[in-house]
Amino acid sequence: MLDPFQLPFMQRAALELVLLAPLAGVLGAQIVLRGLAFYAHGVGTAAFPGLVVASATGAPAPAAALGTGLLFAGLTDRLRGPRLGADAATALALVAALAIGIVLASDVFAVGAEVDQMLFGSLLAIGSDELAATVVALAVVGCLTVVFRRDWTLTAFDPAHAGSLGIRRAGDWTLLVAIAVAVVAALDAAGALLVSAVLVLPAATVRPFAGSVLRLELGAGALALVQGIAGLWIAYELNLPPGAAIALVGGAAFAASLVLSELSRSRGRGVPEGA
Amino acid sequence: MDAALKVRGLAAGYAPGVPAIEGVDLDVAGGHSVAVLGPNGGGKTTLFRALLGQTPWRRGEVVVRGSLAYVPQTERSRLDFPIDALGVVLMGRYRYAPWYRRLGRDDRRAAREALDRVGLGDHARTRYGELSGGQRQRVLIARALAQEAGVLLMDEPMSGVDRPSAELVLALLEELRDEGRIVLVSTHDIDQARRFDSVLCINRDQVGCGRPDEVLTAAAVARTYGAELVRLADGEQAVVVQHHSH
Repeated sequence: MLDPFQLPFMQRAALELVLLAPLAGVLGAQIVLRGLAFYAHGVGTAAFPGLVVASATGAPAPAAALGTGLLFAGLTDRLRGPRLGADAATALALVAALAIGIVLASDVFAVGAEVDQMLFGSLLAIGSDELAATVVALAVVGCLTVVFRRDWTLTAFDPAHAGSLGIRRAGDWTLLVAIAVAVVAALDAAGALLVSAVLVLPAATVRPFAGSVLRLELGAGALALVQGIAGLWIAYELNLPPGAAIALVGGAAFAASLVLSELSRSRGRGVPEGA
Repeated sequence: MDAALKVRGLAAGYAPGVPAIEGVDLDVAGGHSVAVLGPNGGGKTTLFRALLGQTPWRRGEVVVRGSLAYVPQTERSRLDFPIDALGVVLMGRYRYAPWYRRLGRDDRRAAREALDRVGLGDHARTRYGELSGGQRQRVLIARALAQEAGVLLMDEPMSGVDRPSAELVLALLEELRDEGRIVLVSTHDIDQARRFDSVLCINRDQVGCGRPDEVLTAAAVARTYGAELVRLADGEQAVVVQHHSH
């Protein structure tokens, strides 16, 4: 069963998943606690035109993806207001990014064949450059986490209290930037459209069973690693695209978590008080 | 505890030129409680946010001695958040621990003491979302105590709380006041407002400020509540309260 992991490209893919797991733990927890899943998905999609431009011009892909990702973050922040909710602003910017990316890929740069990899990941083709980029992302997010994690959690629990301590704005911006960096790091594994499978699904799966933020982070990180390796193995054995396989395993785990938490809740309700 | 709060001619609000509150004067020494009475949308929350520096001031002056702590409405807190009561109270200690220092034994002791203080020492490990509305309100007060606040700004602490719990909360507020803190509580309940040392009536402009028996006249109440006031057949007045979310 472990045979496939003797292969160098499988080892590099597994290493990439090991590096992504802490990001999925810490940021996944904040994403589900703050309701930022759609934002994370949007940043991933916004990275797509950046990847197209990078591929055509030879610019470094992570820098280009982060650039368009952050542009997206700034744009949605500008768009949302009293007349346009944050969700609608994200959806507008997301659709625009995807459309621009497709036009650039097909008509401007004729990137063609690589579009698949950009949208759905290329975990089996990861090289040392991609691994190095993920290590840099891990370092950046690690630093931001060490400094701001308490602020993030405080704001997630009680924005008014965070505001009264004067930490709200800094906490918000650093979190959005950290998520953008993590999304870009996860692009190689899952692609622009499936990045939530790596960063959001594990935390959403663990959430109903986590008694504290720390346990949510540890559980989400561990699950991200397990579902990633399982998805990778299934992809190898069945000759599936690994990004999609990981997303399917993550989706199955989430469905199981949903059923389990519903069951335990209804059992809790069925017990008469004092029994 | 040596808290003091002085407000002179405060006008504040987001839109320039149209302040949400205007002409607010308040002078409170430590050991006093103030009810901020007014209709929904009358500027109670704006006043608190202005004191906390979150809503821009347009005019006026505010002097605070002692640190401010904001106690939000429990109705608006996150019930599905993975945290226990002690975890919430510990958040009051975050400001004393810079990012490079973990919360230490002193912080934990302060949080435990604050939780004991509000009578919830036995619930330290209970999930916040599983507590009753009144218990959650006391946990949030404990967080302000752990924060070592001299001035407590409480947003409608008795709303969404059953009557026995509301009595507990009121008794607790009296204790905290007697220890020298300033307790500012926003409310739209005139009966509750009578139990405080002073009442500040606000409906965009300040209607009055002083001892409850002096301020809460029929005319002042009418000016405070404006259109929300209903005159009953026997000459009594009643206030129509519409709950809303901000």
